[in-house]
Amino acid sequence: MKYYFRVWKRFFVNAVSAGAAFRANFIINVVVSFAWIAMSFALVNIVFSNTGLVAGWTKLEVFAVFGIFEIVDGLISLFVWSGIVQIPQLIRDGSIDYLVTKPINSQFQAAFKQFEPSAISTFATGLGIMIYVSSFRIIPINLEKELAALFLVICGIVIYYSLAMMAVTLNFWFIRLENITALLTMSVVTARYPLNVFKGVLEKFVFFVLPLAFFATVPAMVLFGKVPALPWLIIGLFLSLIFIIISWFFWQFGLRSYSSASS
Amino acid sequence: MRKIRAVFRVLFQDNLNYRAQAVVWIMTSIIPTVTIAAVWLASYGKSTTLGGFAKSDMIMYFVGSLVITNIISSSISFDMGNEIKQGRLSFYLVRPLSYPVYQFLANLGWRVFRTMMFLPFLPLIWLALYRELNFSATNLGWQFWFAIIIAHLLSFAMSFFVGSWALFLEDMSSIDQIYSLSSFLLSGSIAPIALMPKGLQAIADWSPFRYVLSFPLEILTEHSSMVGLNFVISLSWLILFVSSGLLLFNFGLRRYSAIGQ
Repeated sequence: MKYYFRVWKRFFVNAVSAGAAFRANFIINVVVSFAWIAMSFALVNIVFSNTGLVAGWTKLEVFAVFGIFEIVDGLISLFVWSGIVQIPQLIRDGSIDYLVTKPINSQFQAAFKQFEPSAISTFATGLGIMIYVSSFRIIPINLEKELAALFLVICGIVIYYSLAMMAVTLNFWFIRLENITALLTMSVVTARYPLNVFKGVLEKFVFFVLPLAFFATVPAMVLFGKVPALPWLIIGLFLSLIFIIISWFFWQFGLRSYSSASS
Repeated sequence: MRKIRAVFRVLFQDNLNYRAQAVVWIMTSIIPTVTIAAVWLASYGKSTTLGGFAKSDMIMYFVGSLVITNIISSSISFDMGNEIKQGRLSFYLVRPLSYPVYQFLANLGWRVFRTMMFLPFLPLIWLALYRELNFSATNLGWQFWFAIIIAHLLSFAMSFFVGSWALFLEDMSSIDQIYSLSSFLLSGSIAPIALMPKGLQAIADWSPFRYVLSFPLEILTEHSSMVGLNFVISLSWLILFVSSGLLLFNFGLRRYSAIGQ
């Protein structure tokens, strides 16, 4: 464990110094991510200028879902996303060779080698939104609920990581499926909205099969006391364990069908 | 004409290599539309209309949006920028058809191919929604099809115009981002323009983005007025973007230099 932490610290320092060479990129990334968040705000504002309640959520509650999502998304983008999206390329050009021959877990290296400093702005925006929302005193002051929501956010992060990992692992078999990461991004950003806007099978799907709802919707539901905390804590824990284990085995399984492209 | 036919055939066949990717792209474009539609439908609550839009109108609007963004809308600017930056533009300059024509045919081939790949999704959409769809309030007359053709040409011309900036700028990705952000907000992809707040509505109404998506959908769901005037405006935008895109491209071509290859 200590060894992994030391390696990660080295990755981190390398990635930050590499990133510092491209400062203009940093600014552009920050501006672009702000602009897309602003677009989602525009959508919510337009919707609420025509109605008072969306699937039982008020406008401020929807903003809270946004805030939680940006926090989760910010953390993922900060630490693992830029590593994960490079995996298809690593598989295609045979660079996985370098990972599997090192005395440390290959999935760990592939995911944590990169670091995206500009994502700190996404994380900060999320925090800002939460501070703004709580200034209206709509979040109940109840430590139990807050801790439960925090725990669910952690489950959400684990599920997010596992889903992303499983998606790029597909590239071991489908070499030319590089746009899988675009599909992944598009699916993930839907989690910014309260996902019980979906009805029927689709709702079950995003809550339990592809549990995007755990990125923000479920933590917010627990935070606002829309649902009892305990059953959702159990489901969250269960799903995140299942997903991390499956993604782990899937990766190992993928590695076995990996045939290097180099030499 | 024979040249064009031959080139089109080659470009179309080229796409057959990318079947899996096409399916992934289609799913990528379906997901946000379905989500936004779900947000809108969830906001009806117990009421049956929202700003003059009945629920079935709203569903028809977003189904139309799904089909148009998949089949009609072109986004070539990103690839065009890459081709120019990597010097691959040189290949085209020595070929018998000019680069804009080549791009147009390549895009058309990709669109036709994507339409074929999209067809299996249509019964699924119909199965999911046939109870909610109301075809009696739907206008599929010549005006709709004319608006669709303009929408396709306009989206191509605008995208070509944006892509041409790659001849002048080190990095055109910021222009591309501004373009997709404005299009996202103003084309009607997140909300029917009629439901937008007044200020935004005024901008969206006059912007070229409206004619890429919203205008055909307004005709489809019978929420359009002054169709004739709008055809004139959309054709003017088309002429403006075609001419300025070609002007920009030809002017930029004089500064273009590539090494190697």
